[in-house]
Amino acid sequence: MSVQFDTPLSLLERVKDGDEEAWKAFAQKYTGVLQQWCKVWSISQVDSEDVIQDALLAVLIGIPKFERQRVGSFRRWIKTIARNCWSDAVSRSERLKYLDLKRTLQSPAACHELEEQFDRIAVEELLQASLKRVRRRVEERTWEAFRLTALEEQSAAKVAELLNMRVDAIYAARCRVQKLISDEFKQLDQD
Amino acid sequence: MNPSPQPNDCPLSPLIARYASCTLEDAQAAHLDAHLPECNQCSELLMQVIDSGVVPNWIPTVRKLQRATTVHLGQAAEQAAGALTASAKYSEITKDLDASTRYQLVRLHGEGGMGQVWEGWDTVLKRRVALKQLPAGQQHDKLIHRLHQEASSLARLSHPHIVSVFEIVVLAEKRTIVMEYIDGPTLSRFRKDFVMGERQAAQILEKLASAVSHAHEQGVIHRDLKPANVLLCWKDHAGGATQDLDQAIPKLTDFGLARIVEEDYMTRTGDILGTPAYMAPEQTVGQANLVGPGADIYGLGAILYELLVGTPPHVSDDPVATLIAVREREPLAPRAIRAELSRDIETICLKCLRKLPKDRYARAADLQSDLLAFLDGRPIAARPLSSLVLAMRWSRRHKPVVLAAFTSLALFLIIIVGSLWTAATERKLRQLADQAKQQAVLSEQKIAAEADRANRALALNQEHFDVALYQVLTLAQLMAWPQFSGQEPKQEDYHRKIDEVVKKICATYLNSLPPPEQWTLREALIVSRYIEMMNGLGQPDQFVVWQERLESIVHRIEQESPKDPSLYDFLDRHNFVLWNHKANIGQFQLSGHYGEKSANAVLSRLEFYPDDMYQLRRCAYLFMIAGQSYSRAGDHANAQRVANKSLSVHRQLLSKAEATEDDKVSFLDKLIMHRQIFVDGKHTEANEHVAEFHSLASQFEPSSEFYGRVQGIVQRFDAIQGPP
Repeated sequence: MSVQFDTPLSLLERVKDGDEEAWKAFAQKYTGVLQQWCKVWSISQVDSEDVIQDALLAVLIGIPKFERQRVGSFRRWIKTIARNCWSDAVSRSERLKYLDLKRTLQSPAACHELEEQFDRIAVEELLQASLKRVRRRVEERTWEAFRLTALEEQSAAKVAELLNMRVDAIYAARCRVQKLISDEFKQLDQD
Repeated sequence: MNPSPQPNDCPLSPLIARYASCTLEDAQAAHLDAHLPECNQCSELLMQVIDSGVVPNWIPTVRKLQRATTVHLGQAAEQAAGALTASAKYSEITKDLDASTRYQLVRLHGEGGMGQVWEGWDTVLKRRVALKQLPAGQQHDKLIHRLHQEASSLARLSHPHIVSVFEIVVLAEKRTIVMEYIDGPTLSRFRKDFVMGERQAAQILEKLASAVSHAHEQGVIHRDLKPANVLLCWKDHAGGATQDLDQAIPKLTDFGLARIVEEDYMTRTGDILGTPAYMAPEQTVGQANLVGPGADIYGLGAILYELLVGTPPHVSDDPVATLIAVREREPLAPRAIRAELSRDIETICLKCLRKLPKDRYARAADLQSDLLAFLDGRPIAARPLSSLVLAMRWSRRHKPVVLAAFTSLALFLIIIVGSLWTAATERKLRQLADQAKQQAVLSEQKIAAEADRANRALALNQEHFDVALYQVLTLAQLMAWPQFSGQEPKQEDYHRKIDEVVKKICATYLNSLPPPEQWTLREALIVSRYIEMMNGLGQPDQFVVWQERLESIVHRIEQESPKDPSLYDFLDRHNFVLWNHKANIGQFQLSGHYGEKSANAVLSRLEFYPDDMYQLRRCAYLFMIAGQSYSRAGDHANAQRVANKSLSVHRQLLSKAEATEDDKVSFLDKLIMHRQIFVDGKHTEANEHVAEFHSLASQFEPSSEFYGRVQGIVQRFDAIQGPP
């Protein structure tokens, strides 16, 4: 059911434009994070459903506002959104009034943890987008040299045999792809 | 193998490690790109550095993401898939798919939401196979790659009660699953012709549970368990005439298929796909990521339910109504439909069908072992729901009402309800439900529905008394809450309504009691609580009547009942009320007597739980107030004796690790009362604790939050005119 978006930003763009499918993909992604987070902060299953719903709503409302203020890093931006939307959600939530959770949810430690969680997802998304873009740019064999050695951790000698390449070429290809991905990552984050 | 490092004199060699971890500046990196093919030393070094594990910091994240795509069928597999799938292996996959011409479609067996099922022929291995053709969906690379992954995890499932999957191929342009051919009916068809006993149902379920347990261990979730997905076969018959159910081998099919088809389908339509009557509540909300092994436990429960009573737990012509029922309504208890069923099998079944996955069996293996226990006639692990759990369930659905209005009085009601149920008669219950119905003028529809549920529950049998009474109590709450007019209830209204219902229920209950000679501890406990409440409400006549009845049997109860905490709870509450009552009417000697008895009961209770801080505090308190009563009666010897006891219990309290500052302050308080008692008795021991008092009091620094309170206590202490 997931829809692949080329960059995390384009996903957010579409969320902002009221694209329902984009919103679903976004909510699905971040619901997982928030669930994890609620578990860490010992919020019961039932309460966390409420909390998460409020937080996602706050993000939906908050995104257009923050888009205008974004300068530089996507990661920093998503962390700011997380922090601000979150405290917004907590202070406005009617439901949270009934639960003695506000203090926990707004404690610096909890907010920091939440930012980290959002950052983790942002990093994952940026990485995926980077991999995808680089994958399109490099030759099949170069990519495989990288994938099999770096990701599947197979020995260079074995991969060299499989791809019919020299061992040192395998290392070189791996390094080149790594470099491209690193650059792409930085680029996407700054875009 | 590991030659000693060559002396590397290339000036660029110090940059190699940062080159490998992608932390070099761009210009330097470009420089090294050009340099490496020309410098053997640096190339060698680069290989060593990489082999020693120097990687860019994001590599572990990507590895993790990649693993996530291959581990579980049921878990967010696609998260990282897009970027990482298409690969050299792709050509191998397509090669496999071309080879699928080896399968011939022979005969169409059936068609359903999950596609067509064919009997097929494998021309290579010369055997019959079953071919399941999934509905044609998007046939893009990614999906085919995932199908291939999933086929490998399905093929990993190897269990006598799971239909084996051989592979997934493309046949006639449709994705097709090649499976073991089973010659036999589905359980849903078979069930229509046979009436199944509870043992037969349990036997089949036990096998299915073991299959599901195996799949879960392999990380595969079925997600669409229902009788139509269970095939029956027999060892020596090819579906012959003598289909003896006891010999039947059930086999589960369509493992993991729901996920493949559902995802594809939802991508296109955004709808939920499945069989509402057998869906777990969490599946009805359409959030695939929330669906875990618990959904299969629910599915197993739904199958068991159908085998026992003949219909799924929730059924309706309208699929939407069914979905809502699955999400919100409790299924009718199987024994309400087939009274001859045993309670254990009902309990097992209902435990699988709980709304929240965490309330069901945690693992299919646990369900299996309970079924085995049932078949062996051993006790099962699952427990029927108590009325308290029902109360909590209700309160979860009506959170605002409960949070705003759940008073101690209402809790008291729940306690009564919880302890009552064996004692009541059906007729009285019916009266209650009727009364409740008559009062339901505020929001008739909703309340009528509740009353109706009460009525239905009580019609089942007497065991359901707690449920029915519980429903009646919810009426009281609903009546006090004019939620349909959108107004906040007034606190007084709420209390008044609760008060009315409490009194009615108590009256009904008390009238149903046998004469006091037949009471047991259970009745005594409830009557004592009632008396305490009447005392609090200022209803002396009721108080006296029931107090006398209770008094007449206390001695017998004390002799007869096992010496356990609930007996001591009873004696504590009972005597405490009498301490209060006698003091109010000026009989201080008796008041002291009862106070001391109450304290002694707590002391006995403490033998069971020596570290119960609450009871320790209560015990010290009770001895002291008993001392004050004796003292006012002029019985100085007894007053001094119990006051000393109070101090000694309180010292015990202070020696505990959990003792708080507050406990210290209240010890100072006790020292005042103690001194007063001894001064009144003109006893010289009154002075013995003066030094201790002041030393303890001086421990509270002006910065302490208790400082002000302690200063007040010191003043009062010093004001007591002690003996010389």
